[in-house]
Amino acid sequence: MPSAKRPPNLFISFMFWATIGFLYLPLAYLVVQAFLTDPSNVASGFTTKWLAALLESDALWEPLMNSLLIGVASASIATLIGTLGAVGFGPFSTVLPPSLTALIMLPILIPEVITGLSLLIFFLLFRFELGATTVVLAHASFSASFVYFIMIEQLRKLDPNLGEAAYDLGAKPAQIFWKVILPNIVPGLSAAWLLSFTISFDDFLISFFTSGAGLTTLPLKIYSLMRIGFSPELNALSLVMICLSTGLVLILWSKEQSRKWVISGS
Amino acid sequence: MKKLALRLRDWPPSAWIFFAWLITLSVLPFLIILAMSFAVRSDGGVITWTFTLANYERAFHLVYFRVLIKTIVLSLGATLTCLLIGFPVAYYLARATPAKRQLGLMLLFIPFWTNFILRIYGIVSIFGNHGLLNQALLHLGLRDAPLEILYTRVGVYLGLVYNYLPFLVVPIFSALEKFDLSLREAAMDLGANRWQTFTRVLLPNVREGIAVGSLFVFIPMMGEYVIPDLLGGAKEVFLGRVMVEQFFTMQDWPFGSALASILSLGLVIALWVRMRFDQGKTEAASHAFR
Amino acid sequence: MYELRCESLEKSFGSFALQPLDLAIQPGEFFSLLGPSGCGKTTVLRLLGGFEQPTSGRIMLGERDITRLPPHKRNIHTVFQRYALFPHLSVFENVAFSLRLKGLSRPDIIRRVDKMMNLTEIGALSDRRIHQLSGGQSQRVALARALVDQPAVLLLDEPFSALDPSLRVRVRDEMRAICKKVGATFILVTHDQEEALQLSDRLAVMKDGRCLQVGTPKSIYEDPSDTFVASFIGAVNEIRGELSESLPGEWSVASAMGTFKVKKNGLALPREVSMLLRPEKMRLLRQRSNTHDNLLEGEIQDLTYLGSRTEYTIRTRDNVFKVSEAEMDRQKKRLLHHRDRVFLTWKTEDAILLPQSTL
Repeated sequence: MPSAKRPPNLFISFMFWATIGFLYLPLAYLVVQAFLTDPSNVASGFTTKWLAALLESDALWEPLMNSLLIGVASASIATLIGTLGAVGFGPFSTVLPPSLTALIMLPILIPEVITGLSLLIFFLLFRFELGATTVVLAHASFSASFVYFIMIEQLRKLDPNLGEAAYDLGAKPAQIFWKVILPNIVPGLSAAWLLSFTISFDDFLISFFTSGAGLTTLPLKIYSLMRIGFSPELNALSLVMICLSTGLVLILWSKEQSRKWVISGS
Repeated sequence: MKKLALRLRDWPPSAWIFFAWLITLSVLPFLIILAMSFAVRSDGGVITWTFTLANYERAFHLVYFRVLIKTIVLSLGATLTCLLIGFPVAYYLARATPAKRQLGLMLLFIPFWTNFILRIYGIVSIFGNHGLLNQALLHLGLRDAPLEILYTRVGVYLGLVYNYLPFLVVPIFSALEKFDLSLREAAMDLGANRWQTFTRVLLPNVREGIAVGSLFVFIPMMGEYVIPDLLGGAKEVFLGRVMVEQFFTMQDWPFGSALASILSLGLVIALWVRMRFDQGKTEAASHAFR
Repeated sequence: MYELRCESLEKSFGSFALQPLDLAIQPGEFFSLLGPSGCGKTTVLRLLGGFEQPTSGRIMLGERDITRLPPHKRNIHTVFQRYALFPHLSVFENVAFSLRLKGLSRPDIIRRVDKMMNLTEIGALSDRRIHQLSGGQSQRVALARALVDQPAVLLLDEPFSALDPSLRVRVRDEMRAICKKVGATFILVTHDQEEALQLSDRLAVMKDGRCLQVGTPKSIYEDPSDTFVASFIGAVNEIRGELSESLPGEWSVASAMGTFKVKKNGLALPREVSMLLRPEKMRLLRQRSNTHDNLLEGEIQDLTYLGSRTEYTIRTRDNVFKVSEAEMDRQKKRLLHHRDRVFLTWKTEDAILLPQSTL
């Protein structure tokens, strides 16, 4: 029992909400900025012309499509491979040596800079052509570990005799998978896929290192526009990106299987 | 139940596929970096695979050593700031009702799932020369010229605090959550005032959890590339930035690899500390119930 | 209806080995495999169910050798420890699972599932999700699912261990009623002797991969084949001593506590024997009596009043005895108290004589 939980005092509450304010202010202002007639003057009045212009321009559609495609591809690969791992190691997950679990955790813990650089060198040494493929591989490489942990958790919730029970009642191995195991891990699978997709969709640094020259994703486009200088187009693009990302994370949060990773991951 | 030890030859094929993937795309690239840190770059950018510590020696040459010190000072300052802000925030969450706590955690983390570049851009649009803050200052007549916050060390510091804060709130929060509140009451009952209760009972019990959490924030901070690059201006040197430049502009992969390896070593140490800490706690718990 | 036989069934893996097992289980019988964890009872069940292959030996169902058949071709089904109900399907669909796989027509499925659900009294739960069921309900769904395609034998793997202890007795009664209605052969694996005694027609007691004794609950309780069986099924007091023939035809056991008369049973006994006394076969006397053959003096160390009986712990000079007396005997005597001096006695024929266990 949480004994004697008094509500937090005023100072604590103030610090919390002030911090939340500090975290949201920049993003909220980005949203406002996208509608400003003169982006460098908050009093200049509202317009939707920048957004309308963006919808007509290439700055949005090509990077957006690339981001979506890379997200779908890497999430699918990561989900497949991470799930295979969870299915393989799942029955032994309680007796796996801690070193192996640490190894699987490694891609999640290593700072992105190092992951990105080491993958870049790896791709260059093995003469991969930098582009969409390498970005997909890079994203899927560490997303697979997230998937693994989500699916291990999901499988642990299942009765260990479920497969045997179906077999006993006359199901063939393929039927056991499609009719019994799969329907019961779908919530985990969809959460894992979405998490991988979101990580890929939001990722900047690793895409930046492994994409080579030709490819742009949404975050890469925003970065390159930022380097050129600030423009209404950049603001409108930021608004689109904020909406998409926030939508994705809200979905992740609503799913019990991925909620934990929203807090500790990214 | 007897424990089944899992031997390599008992691994199912699906486990092998996953393991092979992990080794190829996570472990191997990392080992390549490690190996490369001992190699040399010959003229023309060709890499000769030898074993030399020259890259590491170079990392401690005065010029890089100064970068290292500057990076450490800045990252340490940012970590401490995160701690000071993070502690009350975590305390609020730990004491809140479950529903409020869920909401609070969600609010805390949503910004961190919007894109990293956007967060940087958000900071620029607030603190930049034409940003909201300067617009306000100029408008109110508090200043005649924009306050230069960005493209200085302060900009980097702001960026670090902003981007790492929630990741320090979580370890503090979980340490506080595990803290048995009745200890606090016991201390009060034994005559400790609020401050004494805080310093003599609460802090000693959550200290390790917070220290380990801080390490996990501090080390990635030192490797930051984009924050110093976009918020620090051209002159601002930072370890992560120097490291990345070795790979891109300088084309000195071995030296860059050495810097990356040093950073990774720091992380491995942090990981080791945490594992030992976790282990110590479980051992203590099992003693208590024996 | 077929007899199920194990013929020299053996299985070894790792450091565990199931010793050659021969069992014949009658059609319609409720048979239990009872033993502590690690005794091999679950292994036997998994061999019978087809989830493991024996190292050697045969399993026969009637005249059919089913040793190598996969689980679903055996006409034997298993109710798993945690029931393994399919969480994504409704109660109805769980029960209908095997019939659907067989491709039965819709009306047939509905008829047979409904019949089985009525039999197991879960008809009202038809559309429920699995996570909405109580422990007892889950168990009945698992029973219905396994029984719906009319297996000859049903295997029950610790089916009560997932239940709240306060529920177990009631659920056991319900299960027994269902089993009687169905008429299939039931094989129960359990480590709970009370469960096995209550439910079984016959049971086998197992330890360390070996089957120690097979028999009816009564015969096993009253004529255990060794000290382990005796102490695993019910409580016993043990007196160790040397067996000797004091007069022709009259045997006695000489122990550190004295010499006691015994009645020799059919067993060939060594000199070193254990004399076992069930707590409820022992009596307490206020005073020394010369009409009783076997007497031990002691002091009441503890007594627990349990309504229908009272349990005593009696400390004698060098041993501790458990005694359980029915309430009606209590009425005849003055109340006994903590620390009272008493005499223990028992009927000569109630002592069970067994070779001393080597442990």
